Amino acid sequence: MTSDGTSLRLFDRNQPWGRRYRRLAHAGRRLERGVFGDRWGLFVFLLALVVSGLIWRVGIFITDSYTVGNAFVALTEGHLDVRRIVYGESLATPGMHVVDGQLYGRNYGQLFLSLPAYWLLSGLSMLVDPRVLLAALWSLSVLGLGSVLGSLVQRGRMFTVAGSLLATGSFLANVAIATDFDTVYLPFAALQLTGIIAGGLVGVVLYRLCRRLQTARVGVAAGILGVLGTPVLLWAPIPKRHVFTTLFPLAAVTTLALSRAGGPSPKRSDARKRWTHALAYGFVGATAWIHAAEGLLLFLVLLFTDLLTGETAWRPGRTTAAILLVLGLSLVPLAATNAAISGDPFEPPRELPNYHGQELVNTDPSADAGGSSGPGDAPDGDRPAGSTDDGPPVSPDSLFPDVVGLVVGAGAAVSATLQSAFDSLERLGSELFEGMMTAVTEPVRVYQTFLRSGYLAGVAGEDGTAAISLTVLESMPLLGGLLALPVAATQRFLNRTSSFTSWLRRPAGTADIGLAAYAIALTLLYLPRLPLHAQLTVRYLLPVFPIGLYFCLRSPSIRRPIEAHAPSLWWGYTAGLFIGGQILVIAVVSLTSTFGEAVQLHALIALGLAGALAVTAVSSAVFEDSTVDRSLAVILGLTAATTTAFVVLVSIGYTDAIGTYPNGGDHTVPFVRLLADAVTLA
Amino acid sequence: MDGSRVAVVASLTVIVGISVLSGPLVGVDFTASPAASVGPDLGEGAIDATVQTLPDTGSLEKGGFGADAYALSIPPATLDVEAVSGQPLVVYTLEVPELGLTHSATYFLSPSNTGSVTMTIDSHSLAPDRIGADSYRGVLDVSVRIGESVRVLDRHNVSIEVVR
Repeated sequence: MTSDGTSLRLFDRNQPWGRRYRRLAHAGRRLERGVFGDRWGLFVFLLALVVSGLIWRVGIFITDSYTVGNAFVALTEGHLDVRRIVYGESLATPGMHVVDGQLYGRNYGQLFLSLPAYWLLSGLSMLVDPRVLLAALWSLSVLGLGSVLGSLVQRGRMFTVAGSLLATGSFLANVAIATDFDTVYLPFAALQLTGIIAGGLVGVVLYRLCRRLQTARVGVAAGILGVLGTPVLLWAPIPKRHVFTTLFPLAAVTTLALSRAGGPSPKRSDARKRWTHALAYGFVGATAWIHAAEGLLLFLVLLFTDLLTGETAWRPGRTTAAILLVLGLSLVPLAATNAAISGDPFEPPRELPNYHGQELVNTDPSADAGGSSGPGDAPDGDRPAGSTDDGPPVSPDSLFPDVVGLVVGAGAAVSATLQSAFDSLERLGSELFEGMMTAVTEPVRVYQTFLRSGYLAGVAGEDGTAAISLTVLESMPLLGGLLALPVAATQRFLNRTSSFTSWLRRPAGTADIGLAAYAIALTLLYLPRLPLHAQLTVRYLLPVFPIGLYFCLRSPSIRRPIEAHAPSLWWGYTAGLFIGGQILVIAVVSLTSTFGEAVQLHALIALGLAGALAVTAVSSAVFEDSTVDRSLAVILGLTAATTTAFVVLVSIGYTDAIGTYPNGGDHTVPFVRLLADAVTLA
Repeated sequence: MDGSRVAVVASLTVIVGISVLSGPLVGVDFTASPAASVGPDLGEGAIDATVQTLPDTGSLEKGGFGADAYALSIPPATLDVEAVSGQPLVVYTLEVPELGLTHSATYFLSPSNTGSVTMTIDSHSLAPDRIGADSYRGVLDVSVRIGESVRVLDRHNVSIEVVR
């Protein structure tokens, strides 16, 4: 023993234990760098885990989660087709598809990505009671958050100790009031946990992007606001595609932009740069595995951005080869699951006929017709089953039907590939065109999607006659700050402080163009069907929220208050959430009598704050006046708190209003359950 | 000694230790089963009760803040319960024939539920285009269901005023 009795070294570097610890710490640091960028990135991630854990409820929020849940259970049992009902009362749930008498879910990328979380939870539940396990994981994330913050700031020891006390105390309290956890929901919890991790990574990507393009302080603000101030928080624990198809496009454009950062230096070889560049295209396959049309859209946006902003000293040959390789590899999982399900690697599950509860029979293999839905026309979770009229089921065409002519077969496969690619492009093109036409001929849809919702008969009628689907701005009033951006851009180009071509060549130009193009194209894709019910916060456009935050932070009049008055921002946020949130609860109880009214009251508060932010930011930009910076920082905090408050109230206050949860809300962290029992708003 | 590191390790030890205690290997049961609210004799038994109050008026109020949908709300009814055996059902029902709707709330009473029992029907949202008149006539009903038999305790008309 090297311990001298008075000081206890927990990990002595000379002991075998110490060496192992050092190796572990080294691996930890590499993970930290690779995934989170640095320790602040890890902080943003842990913050997301802690906050998401608080609002996480294990249960069905929206009807197509039955499909995803049952399909995931099938996958954990080792097969793609859904054979038994685990969640819900029938397999005829939205998003269930039928091929040749067998049922399949969708979003297989999301399901495969959730397997590690399932292995983790089911493995640990052999050692730990599942409810205690979830409480322990939450307390561990609190502990981690305290320790990480402790290593980052002055007087850090205080945060570490506070985190330890909070983690221990909350864990003991949670164990004291824990209730049984139905283990049937363990796979479902794994799907939700994976979503929460993806949601945290959205914050991490925002942090890394803004940190690299701007300053550390703006980066941290971007990460924290991305986690707390966007509806990503609401959708992260709900097992739907949105949080994943937000993370991947954001990560793709960020990777592309970062691959442009800095010239070739001894530390950053050309090859490394090339592979970072190619990695951006790897997210195309990941996105397409979950939603094929959005994957194709991402590919086109990346290609467009890449060609527009490419370096002059580009080496097309090698880079293109690397891109093709990474892109091709990333598409393999999608093609493999498609082929296993429909027999056609180019036919994703969403294109297959919907299952409406008809008798399952093996169909005639000569039948030949596809589903009727377009690539962007994903029939989503909320449409009553039976509302779409699908063609006859698709036959499982084998890729190489004849052994005779391998060459002929290969030729046919290549031409089928091209044909299929052209068909998809043509369809996506026509959908985007339709979106443009809608924006021009029915601008009211843009207004009702982005600005003010209110009671819309066609939307509320499907939401239980309640006006509960907010617009983009009502969901995230922080986006009011976007109004300062055109002012800033005009000033820059008028003052010639920055030339258009130099902007194009910088990483910021790549990020600007890529993110703007993706947000606009995604909006056009879905606009013909928006405003829509069961959206709550326009979830179809979820990527638009973090992208909007990025653009807010691009304008100097928003950035300056963050640089100069960060404490005001965070105090504004804290006061807004904890004091404003209580006032909001009182207002909801005393002024409203229905869920619809409560949500619309919330919408008006959000619009008021968005207006205040927009006016202050624009005037600050126009008059280049930094005296309002402190109030601007406070308003920024308040707008972010408004979004958090809505998400928290949906989880805790309106517990019975949306979704079906097994034990009256079934909050994952037990003490939140007590809070939710105390606060009933609708 | 580094205090903060000790705090972290102590916290880890408590969390991991208690977690393992809760698991199948050790098997200490920390989790409470939710109390079964529904017994096997649901809908069977007997009740001696009278209706104390049953409202005469209700309201259909247009939602504020742009929510627009009308909220149909009826004040609660109170029941004076003398004695209960088994788990009889008491159903509080509102029927508005002109709007073609029926809403009800069902209460499972148990022997402990004696004295005054308050019954409420949740407010419901109605689309604005369904509300044309200034008032609607509804029927309120409080009934006891035991097995197949239904016994009406009280039933009378209620006037529902539209508040625009």
